[in-house]
Amino acid sequence: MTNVLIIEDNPADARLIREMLSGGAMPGVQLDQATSLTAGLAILAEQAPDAVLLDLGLPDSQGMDTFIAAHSNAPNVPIVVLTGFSDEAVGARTVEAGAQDYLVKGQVDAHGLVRAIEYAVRRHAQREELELIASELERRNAELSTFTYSVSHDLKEPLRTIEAFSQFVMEDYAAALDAQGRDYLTRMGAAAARLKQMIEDLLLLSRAGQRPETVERVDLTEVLDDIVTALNGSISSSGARIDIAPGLPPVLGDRPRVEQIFGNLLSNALKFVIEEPPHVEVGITASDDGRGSFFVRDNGIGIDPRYSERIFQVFQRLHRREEYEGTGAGLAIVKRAAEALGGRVWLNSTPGKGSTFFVSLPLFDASTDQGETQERVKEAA
Amino acid sequence: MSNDFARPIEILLVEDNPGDARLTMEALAEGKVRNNISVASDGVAALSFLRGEAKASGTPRPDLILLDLNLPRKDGREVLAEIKDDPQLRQIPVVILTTSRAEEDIAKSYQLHANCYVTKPVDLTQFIGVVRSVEGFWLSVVKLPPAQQRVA
Amino acid sequence: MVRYRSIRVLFVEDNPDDIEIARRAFKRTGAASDIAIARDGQEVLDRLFGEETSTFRPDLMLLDLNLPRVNGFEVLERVRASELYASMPVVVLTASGRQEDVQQTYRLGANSYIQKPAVFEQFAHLLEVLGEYWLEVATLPT
Repeated sequence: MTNVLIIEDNPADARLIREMLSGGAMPGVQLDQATSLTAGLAILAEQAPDAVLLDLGLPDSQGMDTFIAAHSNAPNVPIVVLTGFSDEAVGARTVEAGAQDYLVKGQVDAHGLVRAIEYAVRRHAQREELELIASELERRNAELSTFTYSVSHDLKEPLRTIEAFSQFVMEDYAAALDAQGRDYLTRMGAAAARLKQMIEDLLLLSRAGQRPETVERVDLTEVLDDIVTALNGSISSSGARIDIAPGLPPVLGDRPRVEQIFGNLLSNALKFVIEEPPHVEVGITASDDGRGSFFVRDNGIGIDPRYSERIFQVFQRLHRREEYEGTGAGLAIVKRAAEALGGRVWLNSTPGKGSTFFVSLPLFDASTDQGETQERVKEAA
Repeated sequence: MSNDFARPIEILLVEDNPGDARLTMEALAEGKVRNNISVASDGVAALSFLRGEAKASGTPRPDLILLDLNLPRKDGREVLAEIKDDPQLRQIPVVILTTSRAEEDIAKSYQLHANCYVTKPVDLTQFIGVVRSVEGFWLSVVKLPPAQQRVA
Repeated sequence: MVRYRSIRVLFVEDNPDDIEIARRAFKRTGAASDIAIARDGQEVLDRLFGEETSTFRPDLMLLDLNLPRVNGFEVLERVRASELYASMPVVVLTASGRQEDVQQTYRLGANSYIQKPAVFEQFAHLLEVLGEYWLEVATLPT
C-alpha cells in the first residue's frame, strides 16, 4: 500500500490526479489531499506519507519557497513537484534542492505520474538504506579505532614485564650464562623492543585514521622545513640533497597528520637508497577543484609495481630487517592520515630508478568561509 | 613526561626573602620543563593572587604552589589552611619550602594537607639541588591536576 | 642527607611484576630500607586498621587506584578520615591518565599523582626519582 499526499489547491487538477492514480494504475494507493501549504504541513507533522505530490503554486505559498518549506518540514518524505507550464525552470531547481522529480501539469499521463511516484518512493528507500549503511560503517570504524587504541595500550603492560625481567636477568645473571645464553637473551630483548615499536605504530595508525577534530590552514613549507630539521642527522650522514619547490600552497588539514604524511614519505625517501646519495624533490603537479597533488620523488631503490598496493598495508616489509630497519607501518600511516583529511595517496615507481609518491590534499582557500571549507573536507572524508 | 606541554607550568612562589626567591627562580628556570613563576612576598598577597584579586589579572591560576612558612602579614600555616579549605583551590599541590626543621611545623603542615614538606638547606649548592629535585619531581614525574579556569 | 631511622614504604599494588620492578628501583637508589607490600585494597585496610596498627606504621604510601576488592579511592578516603594516618603522605601510582581520576585523588587529599609509563625504562627511572624525592629530599612527618 502506498500513501500519497496531494498538496494541490486547484480542484480540477486534483480531480485529474486522483483519477489517474486510482484508476487501477497504482494498486492499493491511498490518497490524501491538502489544498494549502499550511494544511499540507499540518498533515506532514502528523504522519509520514510514502510520497508527496506538491503543487508549487498554492494560495499561501509560491514557487521555490513552497518546495523548501515542505522539504525542510519533512526531509525524510520523497517529494514529486508539480509545476505549471510557465515555471518549468523552477521545477528543475527543486530537483537540485532535493525533490525526487518534477512533472509539468498537462504534459503527463497516468502512466508517467504513477511511474514518477513509484520511482520516487523506491529511490528514497534506497537512499535511506545507503545512509544507514554509511552511518553503521562510520560507527564501526570509530569502534575499531577505539578498540585498537585500548588493545595497544593493554598490550604494553605485559611487554613492560618482558623488557624489565630480561634486563634484570642480564644485569644479575649474565656471568652465569654462556655466550649462547646471552645471545638468546639479547634476541628476546630485541624482539621486545620491536614489539614495543609495533604497538606504538599501531597507536599512531589508529589515531591517524580518525577524523581530525578541526581543520585549518597548514603551511606546507613550514611543515617541510621542520621535517628537514628533524631529519638533519640522516640527511647529513647520507649526503642527501633535498629540493623543496618554493611557494607550495597551504593545505586544509591538521598539522599532526600533514606532518605524518610528509615526514614518513621524506624519511622513506632517505632510507631506501642504493649507493648514490639520496636526492629528494618535493613539489606540486596539479591543483584543481580545490585540491592539490603533491609529490615526493626520490632516486632510491624503487618499488616493483606488483607491490604498489601491498606497501600501504601495515607491517608489510619488502626487505629483510637487516637491510632496512623499521616496522613497515610508515606508508600505512601516510595512507590513513591522507584519507582522514579527505585525500589519497598513490605512487609511480621504476625499480632501481626511484619512486614518486603522490598525495592529493584539499587546499586551503583563503577566499571561502572557513566553516564551509571544513564541511567540504568532512564530506570528502 | 605526563603533563601537557602545550603551555608552560604556572608556579606561584610565596617567599619573603628576595635572595631565596631569586635563587629558587634561577634554579627553576634551568629546569627541563617550561614554567612561569609568579612571586608573592607575603601571605595576604599570595591569597589575593590565588583568588584573582591581584592586579595581574589574566594570569592563570597556578598548577603548583611553593610556600614558605614564615611570612609577613599572614603566616604560611594560615595560608596553607585557607588554600586547603577552599574548594576552588584545594586541589592545587602545595609544597612547603622552608628553613624550619621543627617537628611541630612538619606535622602541622601535613595535617593541614600540604602535599609535601621540604626543608631548605643553608648551603647554597644543596639549596639549588633541592629546588631542582622539587622541579624534577613535580614538573616531570607528577601528573598535576587539570588546568583550571583563568583567574578573572 | 643521612637518615638515622629506617623509612617504611607501604606499596599497594596488585601486579607482582610491578612490585618487583619497584623493589629493584628503590634498592638501586638506596633510599627505602623497608618496603611493605599489600596486594589489594582490603589487605591494606586490614593492615592499617587491624591488629597490627600499633606496630605497623608506614611513613609513605604508594597507592594504585585500580585494585581488587577495595579500590584506591576508597582506601584514600579511609586513610584521610582517620586521625592516625591523616598526615601520612600518599602518592598515587596508577596506569590511569584520566583527568577525572587526577582531579578526584587530589581532592581526596592524595599528596601527588603519578601515571605509570608503559615503557619499562621510563617506569624504572620514574621510580628512582620518586624514591629519591620522597625519601631523601622531602621531610616526612614522624
